[in-house]
Parts: sequence; structure tokens; C-alpha cells
Amino acid sequence: MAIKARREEPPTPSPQLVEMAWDPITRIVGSLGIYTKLDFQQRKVVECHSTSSIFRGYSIFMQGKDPRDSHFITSRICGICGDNHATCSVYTQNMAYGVRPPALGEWILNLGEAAEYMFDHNIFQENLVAVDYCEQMVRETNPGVLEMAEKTEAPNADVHGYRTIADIMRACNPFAGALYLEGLQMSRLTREKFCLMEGRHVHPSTLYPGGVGTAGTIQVFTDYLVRLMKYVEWMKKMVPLHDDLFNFFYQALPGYEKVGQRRVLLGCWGSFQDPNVCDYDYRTMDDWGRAMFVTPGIVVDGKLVTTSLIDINLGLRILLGSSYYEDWENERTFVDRDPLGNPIDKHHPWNQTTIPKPQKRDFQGNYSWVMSPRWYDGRDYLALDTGGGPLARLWVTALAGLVDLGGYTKATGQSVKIRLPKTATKPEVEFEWKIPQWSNTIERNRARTYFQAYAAAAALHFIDKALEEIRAGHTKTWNEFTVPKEAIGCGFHEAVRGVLSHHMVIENGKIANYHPYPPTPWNASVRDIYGTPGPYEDAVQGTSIFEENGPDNFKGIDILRTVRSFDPCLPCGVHMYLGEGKELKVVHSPTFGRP
Amino acid sequence: MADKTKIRSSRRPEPVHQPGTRKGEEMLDAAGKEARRYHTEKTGAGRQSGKSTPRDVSGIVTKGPIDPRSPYLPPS
Repeated sequence: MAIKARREEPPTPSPQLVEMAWDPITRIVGSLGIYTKLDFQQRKVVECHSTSSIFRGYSIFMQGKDPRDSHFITSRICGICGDNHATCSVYTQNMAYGVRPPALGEWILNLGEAAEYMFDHNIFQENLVAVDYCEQMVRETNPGVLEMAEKTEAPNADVHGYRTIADIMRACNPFAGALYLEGLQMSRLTREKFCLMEGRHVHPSTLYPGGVGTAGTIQVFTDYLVRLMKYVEWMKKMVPLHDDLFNFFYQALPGYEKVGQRRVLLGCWGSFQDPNVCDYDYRTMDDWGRAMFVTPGIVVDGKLVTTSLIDINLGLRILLGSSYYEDWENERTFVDRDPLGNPIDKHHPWNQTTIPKPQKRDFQGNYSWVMSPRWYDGRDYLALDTGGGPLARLWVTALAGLVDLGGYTKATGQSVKIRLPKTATKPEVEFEWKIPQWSNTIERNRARTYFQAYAAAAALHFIDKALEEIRAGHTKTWNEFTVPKEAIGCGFHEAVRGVLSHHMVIENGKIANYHPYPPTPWNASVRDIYGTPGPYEDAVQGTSIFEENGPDNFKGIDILRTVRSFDPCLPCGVHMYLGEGKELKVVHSPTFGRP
Repeated sequence: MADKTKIRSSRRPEPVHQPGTRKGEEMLDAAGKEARRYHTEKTGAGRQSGKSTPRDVSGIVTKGPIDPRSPYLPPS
């Protein structure tokens, strides 16, 4: 495959174009820069480049390590969803070693990951995203909208207690708003739940290939359940509240659905294994993939094109085009066929060789450390996004219609129903997430709140199943394994903000090649060799500007809402390597006045 | 501040694995399986199940469960 970029000449800049950049984007993790050209007369973003200025290099220093360390090492990729990496690595190792955890071990792992979704989505939604929609922000960017919010009654006021939309916005104000503070309290509860299952947050201490070290007792699940029921009660308030808030923006700003809208190109790699079906054998991966409690799949233009994990795996391509790396076309091929005999492409993660090539940033050439992961459907290299995670998970699960968690959640073919049981002060409630008309900023944010409820409902099911095992006396949580001299493995999971895959090759009992592909390399990917922009770029490019400020005091709120709707997490975007251990001098440079 | 900063040598020893820590499977081979735990049938997708006795849970010698209707309830 050639790596030379094929690009058209850039259009002649229009006189009214203004260049604006946000670097770094705040209220996210890591160093993401968004560089735009804005047309203030047309109120549109004309061009967008997303760039990351950190290189890490996990794929390089994983080589030669003991494979049994891989989940402890890859967990450190991220300080917020490290457990997702540990889990995905454990899945990968389970396949490579041919080991299956006892059912109780799998339910404990599922409960830990459910707690992680509940935690991470909660803190991002209430303490980071909500700030973009709070009273202070709306007053500064769209005072007319705030005026309207003051006069608009919240349709679900009887459920959440806020009479007007402006009251909701005030409750979202950072550090002072009631919802902001309640969100922090709920995040604490969810972290406690996580620690009960996986020992420590965010780098688990009781997670291993073959199972978990957590002692499964009635008490540990009861401790989890007590905290879960408080969260369930919180969800009964927050889902309708977010519906009111997000629907109001469609109402107040006609055309707002265009903000952050892109073609529906969504990928989900599935989450929550079913121990009754999953045997971690590559050859049966389609069967146990479809049995996952969040269905894996790919949605293109609203149609579900596959739910096969094998198809998903075979279609993975890591392209270059605008990234600071050299191509590995002439490097070693580690895996030429999968265990079913299917050919494996040179640009598949199993065969990737990372060759960093630091250079000056050039938006007409190379401009980021993020590569360009794509999914090849046999014709096109699709720049899939994750919709921040929940949008793709719910969309795929809804269309596939496979999930039915004993009444707690049910996929209907066009929606996902979530039933939350009676809690301390609220009756049973059923929510229904319906497939939206658009893949845009508002729907990415709306899906997050529904998926928080989904994760809570799924956890209720997992507790039932774990207690069944305990009552039957099946207390074993871990099975023995040996590390083969030669093996390959792959793991598919959902990190909080979307697709996560790990690919490993073992030679002589050590790691010969290891490539984690988290969600942000997909979402923050850059223009590939075919000139196809990555999802952030695509979603921001062409987006309409609704902010009332002019160029002099422009905050770029619509752009920032769009980028944040993907829940960016740049430490995952590129994977730190300092070569021979060069000492770096740290210089602090305050960036006052950054939005 | 900068003039007080000591720049350490960039030449550091390479990290070395400390020998002497046994692998889990070596310990299992040497010490044998933990007492009062035993394998039962495989469940689900060929997943090995296992049970443990009240002795394993409590650390004390017991004659049996505290209530026959709850045979696996830990005695303490």
C-alpha cells in the first residue's frame, strides 16, 4: 500500500475567513488541538484539523515483555479508563492462553466494567460536558437562548424538580450548581462499586487472565447493590432532565441538529461477556460476540452492516497519511492468516510496526501523532467514530435486537428499553432510547445519559447472576493457565468512550508485537492517505455557528461542544516512549484566558 | 528557579528484573493446590467451576454448614 498522500490543492482563502485555534482543548484528558478556519459571514466552520502533540509508544516498549504483565502495563495507557485496557488485555490473554474464567469471575468483571461506565460517563457528563450548557456559559455565548430558557417550563419538572430550563442550566454551573455537586457525589459511589469488584480504581489489582482475585461473597455483592440502587435513583432524575435540556436546544436554536453532524459511521466492539457462551476461542468469536450484553457491530448510513467480531477484526486497517510515522510496509509480517485461514492485511494491528518520525507540524502534510484507523468494508476505508461511546453502543444494540437482560434491558430493533426497578423514593421506571435522526453533538450527549441507565440496569442483572453462582456454592473465581511459547490473541471491548481492541503476538513466551487501539485514535484520527478526514475534523468541518459573539470575543462554543461530545481522551490517542531515557526539563507556562 | 535545577545524567542503569520471585505456577507445583478447595463440574462455555469448604472460608475447623438449608453459607 502506498503511503503518499493524495490531496487536492487547498481552496483559495476567502477574505472573510478567520483562522481560530483551540490548543489545548480544556475539560478533556490530554493534548488535543483543534485548528479551524471560520466564515463569520456564512456562520460556518470551513476547515478543521485535529492534532495531538504527544507521542507515547506502548506498542514499542511492550515488545519483549512477559505477556502476563500486559494488562498491568496497558492499564497505564489511561488514568481514567485504565481498567478498560486491563480488561481488554485480559480478554486478549484469555484467547492466547486458551483459558476461561469461572462464571463468577466473569460476572465480577462485568460488574467492575459496568461501574466504570457509570463512573466515567457520570463525571464527564455532569462535571465536564454540562458546563458547556450551564447558565454561565449560555449567558456568555447565547444570551438570547438564556432569556428563552428562563421562560421555558421543563416538561419533566415533576420528575427532576427544576421548573424551567434556566433552572436546570443554573444547577449545571461549575463548582456551585446542585447537579454539578451531586454528580461528584455519585462519581464517588461508582468508584467504590468499582473497587469492590476490581480492587482498585483505575488500575485494577485483582484482574488477571483466567479470572479475578476478588473473593465473591454475599457481602461484597450487597455492598455493591446498596450503592447501585442510589445510582439507579439518580438516573431516574437525570435521564428526563437531560432530555429536557437537550431538546430545548433544538427548540431554541432551529437547525442546531447540524452542529457536529456527520454521516452515520459508527463502530462498537461489544461489551460484557456472557460466560454461558463465551469460550475465548477465535474460531467461535462470532457466536460469543453476538452474545455480549452490548452487541458489537458497525452501522453505516443507519444500516447495521455486521455484528461479526471476525468481520470487524479482518476489516481493521491502520493507515497513515498525515501522521508522524513511517510506513511499515517493508517490515515483518507477524500474522499472515487468522486461525480460520483468513488473510491478515499488512496494515492490520497484528502486523503493525510503529516507526516514529518526529517532524514539524504542517497542515498540508503531516500534523499529528495520531494515526488513521479505518474499517475496510471491501470497497472503502471507513472513518468510523464511536459517538463518544454510548451512541454507537446503543445504536448497534438497538438495531441488532439481540440483548434481553431478564427484563432490565431489551433491544427492540429500533430502540433500547431500560427498566429500572423501584428504589427508595421512586417507583419503577422504563426509559426507551430511540434511534435518533442524526449522529450529532446533542445525540452523542443524550446517548451518554441513557447508557448510564443501561449500565446500571445491566449491573442489576449481573448481580442476580453472581448471587446465583454463590448460592450454588460456585465460589471459584480464577482458573489456572500456562503461557504458550507461540500464540496470538485479540480482545474486543468497549472503553468508556468507545471501541477498544488489543492485538498480541507471543513468540518464545514473550510479547513479539502488541497493539492497543482505543477509541480516541478512531475519533481523533487525521486525514488518511486517501484524504478522508477523521471524525472530529469531519464533524466540525461544515458545522454551523450559533454563538451570538462576533470574532472579537468568539468562544467557539459550538465547536467545543462538538469535540467534547466525542469524550476525547488523548492519552489513548497515541501510545509515551522516551527512547534512551532522555531527561526532560519541565517548564510551566500558564495559559490564562483559555476557554 | 532554573539555576537551582540540577540536571541529572541521562545515563541511567537499565531496569533489571530481580530474580528470585517465583511464578504463580511454580508455587502451585511446589506447594500443591490450596486445601479445602475443589473443582466441580464445568458450567456455561466450558468454564471450570469450583467450590470451597467452610474451613476455607472461615479458617476454622467446622463440622458443617450452620444451616442445612444453606449448605454453602459460610459458618461465620
